Amino acid sequence: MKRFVSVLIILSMSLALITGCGSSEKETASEGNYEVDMEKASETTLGLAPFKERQKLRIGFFTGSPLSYPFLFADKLGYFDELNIDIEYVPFTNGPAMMEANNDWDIGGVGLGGLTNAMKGYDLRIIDITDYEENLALFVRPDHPLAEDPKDPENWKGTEWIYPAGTTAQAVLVNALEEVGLDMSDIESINMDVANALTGFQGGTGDGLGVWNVIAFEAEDTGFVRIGDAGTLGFTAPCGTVVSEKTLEAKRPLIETAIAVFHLTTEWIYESDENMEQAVAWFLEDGENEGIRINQSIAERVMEWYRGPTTGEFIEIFTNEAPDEAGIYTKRDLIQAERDILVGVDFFISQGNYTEEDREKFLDDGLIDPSVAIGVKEMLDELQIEY
Amino acid sequence: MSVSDPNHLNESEYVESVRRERKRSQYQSAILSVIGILGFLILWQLSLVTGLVNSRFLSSPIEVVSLFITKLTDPRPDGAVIGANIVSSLIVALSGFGLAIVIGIPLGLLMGWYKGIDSFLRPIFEIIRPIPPVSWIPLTIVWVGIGLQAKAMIVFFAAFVPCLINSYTGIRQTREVLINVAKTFGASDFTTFLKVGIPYSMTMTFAGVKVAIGNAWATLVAAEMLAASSGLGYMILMGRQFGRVDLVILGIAVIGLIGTLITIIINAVENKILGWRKL
Repeated sequence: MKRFVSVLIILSMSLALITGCGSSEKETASEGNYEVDMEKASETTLGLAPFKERQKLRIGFFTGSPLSYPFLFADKLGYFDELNIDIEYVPFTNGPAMMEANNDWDIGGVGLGGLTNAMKGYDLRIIDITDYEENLALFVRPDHPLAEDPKDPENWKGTEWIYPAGTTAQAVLVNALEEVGLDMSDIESINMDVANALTGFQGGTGDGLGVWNVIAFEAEDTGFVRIGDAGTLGFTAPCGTVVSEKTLEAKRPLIETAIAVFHLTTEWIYESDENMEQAVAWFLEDGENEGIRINQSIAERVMEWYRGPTTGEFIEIFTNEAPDEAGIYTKRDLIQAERDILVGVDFFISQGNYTEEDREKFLDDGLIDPSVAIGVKEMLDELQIEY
Repeated sequence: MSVSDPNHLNESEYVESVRRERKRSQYQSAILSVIGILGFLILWQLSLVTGLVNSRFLSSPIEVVSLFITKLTDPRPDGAVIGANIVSSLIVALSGFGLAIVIGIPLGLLMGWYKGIDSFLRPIFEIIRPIPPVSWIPLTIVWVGIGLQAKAMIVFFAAFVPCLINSYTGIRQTREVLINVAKTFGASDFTTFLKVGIPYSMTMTFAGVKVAIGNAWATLVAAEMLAASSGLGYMILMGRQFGRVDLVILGIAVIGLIGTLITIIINAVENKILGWRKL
C-alpha cells in the first residue's frame, strides 16, 4: 500500500512537472483602449495621432545590432512620448534566446536566423524589415594565403573556420565558397558565438572567422583581413520585427504606430550628417551601457553600414508582389519581403536545417504578414503624411 | 517458511531464505522502477494528446523516439548523426572525467594522509572549489584555445572537486586502530598509506567518482557551447537555433540515459573492487 501511494505521488508530481511546461501563454494579449486623438496629430513632430490613453509597448531589443536602434532613437527624440507611448526595452544578444522569451515582449527585432526560428519554432509573424545586413564578414590573419588571394580555391581547401553555425555568417561563408567552386565539405567548421569566436581566433585557433556587426569591426581593428561580406558577396540578409498573432490582434493600432515611428525615425537618421552623428552617439552610449566592446569609430561604422528601409520602401517591400523566384511556391505571388526572406530560408534548407515543408508552411500560414504595412500606409494616407 | 522464523532453519537454509527475500525485494524495486518510468512516459504522452500541454513547448515521447531513429542515419538539421554526437560528447566528457580521476583522487589521498601537503594545497583548493566550472570558459579559450583540450578542461573543473573531496574525506576517516595495527607490525608510513589508508577510503572515493561523472555530463552542454561541430550539447544548441524542441529533448534524454549507463558501469566496477566490504 505504501509503495502504491509512493508511485501515485511520484506520478502526480510528474504530471505537475509536465503540465508546468505548457503554461506559457501571452500575458499581455488583452484588448486595450487604442483610441487616438486625430486633432492633436498636427502637434506631434512626426504628424502621427497620439493615443488618448497612455500605452506601453515592450520591445525585444537586439543589443549591439542597428536593426533595433531606430526605436531607441525615436524614444530619445521624444517621438514615443508625444504619442503617449511608454517603451520598455527587453534586451537580448541572440535571436534564439529572444524567441524563447517571447512571452516577455510584444514585438521583437532579430536577424534572418532569428526570423526563421521565430516562424518555425513559435509561429510568430514577421511584420517588418528593419535592416538589410551587409556587415556579415569573413576574416583571416594577414599572413594567411587567403588574405592575399581569396579567389584561389586552393587557399580555401582544408581551412578551419570559426563562426556561429546555422546563422547568416554560415550563409556568407557558403556564398564565398561557392564563388570559388567549393562547398562546406572542403573546409572544417567550428561553432562559436560571435564574441567567443573572435577571442578564440585572437588566441590562434582556426584559419578563418565569420562574425557580424560590432565584432566584425573589432576584428578589422585587431588587424584581421576582411576577405568578403554579405554586401560584396551579394547575399541578402534581411532583419525584421516579429510578433505573435495574439498580440498583433490585441495591440494592432499600437504596433502599427510604433512601426511607422521606426521607419520615420530611420528617415530622420538619413536626413543629415548631424542626425547621423547624434544616432552614432546614442548607439555608442547604449553599447557602453550594455557592456559591449565598442568605441566611437566602431559606432560610426555600424551606423554607416545600416540599411534600414525608409517608410516608403518598407511599404513597397510588403506590398510589391511577384512570383516565387525559386519557382517552388505557385499558389500565389509573393511580396518582396517574402522573396527576400526566402533567400535565407532556402539557404538554411540547402544546409538541412529546415525543410521544404517548413517553407511551404511559412507561406501558407502567411507568417510574413503585410497587414501592418498596409495598416501603416492607410494611417499615413489618412494623416496626409508623405512617404 | 518465513525469514522471520529463523530458529527453525539450519544455516544454509537461512542463508538461502535471506537470498530469496533479497531477490524478491530487488524484483519488486525493479518492477516499481519500470512502472514509474512507464507511468511518467504515459502521462507525458497523454498531456500532449489531450492538449493539456502545447506541443510547441514539448514533444511527445513517441516523437522523440521517432526522431532518435531518424537521427541514427540522418545528420539533419545539426549536421551529424546521433552516433557521431554521442561519440564526440563521450570523448569530451570522459577526457575531462578521466583527468579529474587521475589528478583529483591521488591529490585528495595525499592531502588527506600527509599534513604538510594538506596545509600547502588546501587553501588553494578552497579558493578554487566554489568557482563554477563555466566561469573558466573565457580563460580557457585564451589558455588552450577551443579544441578538445579546452572542453575537457571545463569538464575537468566540474569533476575534479568531488573526486578530491571524497578521497580526502575517505582517507581521513581511516580507523585509528587499523593504522596502529599496521604500525605495530612495522609498516612504514607510506606502506600504511598504501595498504590501509587507500583501501579504507575507497567507498567514499567511489561515491565521489559517481558524483563526478554526473557533474561531467551536466557540464557537457556548457563545454560544447564553447566551440563544437558535433556532440550532444551542440545538438541541443542547434535545436535551439532552429526552433526544434524535439531535438532539444532528444539531446537531454540521450545525455540522461548515457549518464545512467555510466553510473551503472561505475556501480558494477565498485561492486567488483569493493565486494569484500559487503556483508
